[in-house]
Amino acid sequence: MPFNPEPFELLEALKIFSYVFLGTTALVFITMSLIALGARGKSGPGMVLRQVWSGIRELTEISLRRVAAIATLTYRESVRRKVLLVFVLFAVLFMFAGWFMGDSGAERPDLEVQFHVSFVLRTISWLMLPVVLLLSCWGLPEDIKARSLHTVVTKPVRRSEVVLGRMLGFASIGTLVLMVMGVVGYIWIQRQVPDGAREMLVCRVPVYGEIAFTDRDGDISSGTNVGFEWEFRKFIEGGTKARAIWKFDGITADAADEEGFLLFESRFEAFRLHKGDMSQTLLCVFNLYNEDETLRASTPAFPLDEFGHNLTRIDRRLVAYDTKTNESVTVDLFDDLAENGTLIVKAQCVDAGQFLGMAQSDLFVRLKNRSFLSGFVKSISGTWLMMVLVVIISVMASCFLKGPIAAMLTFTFIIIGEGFREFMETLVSFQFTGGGPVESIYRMVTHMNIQTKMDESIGAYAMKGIDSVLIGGLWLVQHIIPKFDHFSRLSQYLPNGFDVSWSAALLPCLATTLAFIFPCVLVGCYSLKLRELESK
Amino acid sequence: MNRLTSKQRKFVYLAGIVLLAVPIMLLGRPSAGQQSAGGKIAQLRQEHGLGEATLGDVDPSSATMNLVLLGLRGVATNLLWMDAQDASKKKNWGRVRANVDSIILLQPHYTKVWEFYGWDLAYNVSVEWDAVPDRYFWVKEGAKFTIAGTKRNQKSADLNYHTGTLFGKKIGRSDEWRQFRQYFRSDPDEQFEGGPDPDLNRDNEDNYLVAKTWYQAANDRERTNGQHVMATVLFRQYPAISMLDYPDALQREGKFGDVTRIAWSEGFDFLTDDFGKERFVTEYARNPGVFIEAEPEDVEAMALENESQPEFIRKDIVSLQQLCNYVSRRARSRIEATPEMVDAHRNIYEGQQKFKEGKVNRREIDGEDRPSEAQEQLELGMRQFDGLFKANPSLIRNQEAMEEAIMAVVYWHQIHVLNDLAPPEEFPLSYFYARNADLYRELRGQFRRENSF
Repeated sequence: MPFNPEPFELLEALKIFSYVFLGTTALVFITMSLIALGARGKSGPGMVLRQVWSGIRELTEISLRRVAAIATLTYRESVRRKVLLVFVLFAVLFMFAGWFMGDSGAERPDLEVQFHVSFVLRTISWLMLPVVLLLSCWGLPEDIKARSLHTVVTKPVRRSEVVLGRMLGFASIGTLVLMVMGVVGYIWIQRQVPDGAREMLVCRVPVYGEIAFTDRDGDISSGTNVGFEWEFRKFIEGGTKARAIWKFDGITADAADEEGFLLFESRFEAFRLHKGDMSQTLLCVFNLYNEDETLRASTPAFPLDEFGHNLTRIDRRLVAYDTKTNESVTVDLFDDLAENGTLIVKAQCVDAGQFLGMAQSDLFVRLKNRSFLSGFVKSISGTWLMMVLVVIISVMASCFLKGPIAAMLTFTFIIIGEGFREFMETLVSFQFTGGGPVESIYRMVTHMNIQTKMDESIGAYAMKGIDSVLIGGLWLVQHIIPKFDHFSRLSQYLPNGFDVSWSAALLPCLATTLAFIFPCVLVGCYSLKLRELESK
Repeated sequence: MNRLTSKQRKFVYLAGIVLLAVPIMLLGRPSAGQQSAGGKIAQLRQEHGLGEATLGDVDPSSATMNLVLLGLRGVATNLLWMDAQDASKKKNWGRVRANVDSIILLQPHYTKVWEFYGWDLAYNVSVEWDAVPDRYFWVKEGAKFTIAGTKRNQKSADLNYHTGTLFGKKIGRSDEWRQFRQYFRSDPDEQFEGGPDPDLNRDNEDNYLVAKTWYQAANDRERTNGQHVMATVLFRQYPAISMLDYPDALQREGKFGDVTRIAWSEGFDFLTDDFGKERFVTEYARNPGVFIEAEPEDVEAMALENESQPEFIRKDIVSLQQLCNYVSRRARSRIEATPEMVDAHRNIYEGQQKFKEGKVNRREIDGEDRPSEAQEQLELGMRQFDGLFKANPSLIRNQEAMEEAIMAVVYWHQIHVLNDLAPPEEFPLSYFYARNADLYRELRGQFRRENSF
């Protein structure tokens, strides 16, 4: 995997959600009250309060029947707008996809599977998202333009029910389209993947550990950088005390396979400082320790199958070296070495002067495989959650914007949420040189180098203070934009042959989608309440 | 205001469409072979050889892709190229290959793409892998990719040349050349059941002989379409160089005897009779040009043909010979075909093998203190080389021959070091050793790497 799957911290996410939601609500309320105060005098803030109260009452009195009716109407309207024509494009793509993929030249089964699975997942999401985005963004503005919404609002239907019904309707037509595409995509993969690669259509289930490194003297380090541009892997030097150390938790006898072996899978990278023995790949050894490192068992050195799936089977009965008694003893892997479920694995490179590169996800305990179907369903579920999120944001945007502008806004959300999160995180975490916006302007005007320290003056403190407030605002904006990169990460599990992790992949996607439902309904509802429907 | 009725307007539109269609039809009428040259655009396409079919094999998926993308194929290519570079950085080789395939679907006649990625797969991607069979797999991928490029671009001599380079230099001269050359005839991939990959080596030939075929094809294309790689005389000599590299590689592998002697002899014939008789346009010989394997009477004849002076023609021939190191190659291939040279190679090779086997200590035979087996054999080879160099001064300018001789001296010196003996001042090749001190130092480094000193 080109990234380290890390479990999603739900409590931390809930805390951030509360801060952002309450902070934004307070900011909006204060701004609206000030505007009302200016426009209506002392009675202004009272009017804002009354609007807030009526909105809360409206939300508590939502009728599911009416929401379902609006949703059904939306569904029918979407079908009338020929949204299902997307199937034609989908069919054409899948009919001729073989032309483009047949000559991939990759005779390696894992690459064949990767091509086919990522093609299907990518095609489905690339076809789905523009369709639901445009449909959802144009729905309400078109209704307002055609005045069909006038007939709806004259009925005993609340604005919140219109917003919710729209969201449900668009999401349900999207779900139907996605389900059909998913089924066709699954059958297509099963038929298209070459026979030799079919056995690779499984979902491996990994248990990851936490990684640390020691340097050539055995001291804790962050691993050696051998100069690769991509710094995902750190390297350990062969023939020295340099080790990559993984700490696995929750290792019990349940993790063993049918024959009682514990299976490790590794995928390391070799880096040679000298040519050495070309007929032999670099050798690697695993040393297994208990939690307090008093027992040590070693595996035989194995030649590295670089970028492949190196499997190491560990017998339950092991001969270990007891550092207390300095004697060899026979131990049980699960009862003695992983006594409390904690197992430490230290990887070393045998060849002197050569290096092995490792990242956290490069070594894992492999549990029993799950079926490809289960992984495929989870991947499609990720696409579904993304589609629902796009529908929610699009409908919300269409409540206060016209169709094209709403589409542009949603599209911008997706682009920033997918491609600029990392950059924004760098900004809000102050991991940059040269200060915030005000300090940067000051430096530019005075031609001051970004490395030069600012004077300890009141002006400098004032600039830093203002910058902190502005960066705080950016932090808020950063969290208002959904983290779409959760969804793109989820889509990488299956093509790489892994089961989609609940805690590291599905949960963050689910939490992201759920987090936006209520705020978007709220914004949509108030926007529609305050919108002048006669204004097209 | 428009006073036409709806029906009238429609007739006006129809008339407009017909009027506009006439020039379009005249311009865009397709060619119907010999019966009709087609419209103006078809004629221009034919005249400049720009038709898809005239450039190379037509790939329907490529044509479809270009039509579907309308005018955006440049943008799509850029995006794919960036993604391929990102995938390469992240060592996702499957994604690299898929992106490259998509790029060439979009721009099948941009030969630089074929050239760049063929080289990238065979050189850059292959060395990222640690196991030699994996490296060989990616060398093959690069070669297959470039071969596909030659089929799609049947006017490009450059791509044929680059394919020949992959077979010759990459397989024959890499650090892993021993394994690569072996794999070329017996692929490590089980699906080929111990034989070669038929996509690259259908007739199970040596890599240098396959390279020669590709270089010859490159020369055939170059004669009609030109090339953009190097000076013509250098470009055209590669089939001959491959013919000479073939027995040289056999000797590096320790194969001696008739097989190498005959190969050198055939290489010599090819160099002098084929390459030596190729015509090249020079400053003083514009038409029909000169050939470089020329006797004095040939020079006279060429001066007449080209309406020039014999001394000018001679000057041009010498210049061409120097440019491509012709005289040295000719001398070496002639000498290499002699049994004395084959013997000299064998003795030096076997001396080095005995060194590697540890036969380096002095020994006692019939009560007499004798040099080690390795030393004796090396000295025999060195003596033969010394004699050959003195008898054939042009051989001294040959880099490969000089390297082999000086490397023998490196081994010979090391044997003395291991026996705690100072080497004598005078020894076979000492004259050439003294004049090649830099080469000796360079080869000493190579010796240490090869023998883990």
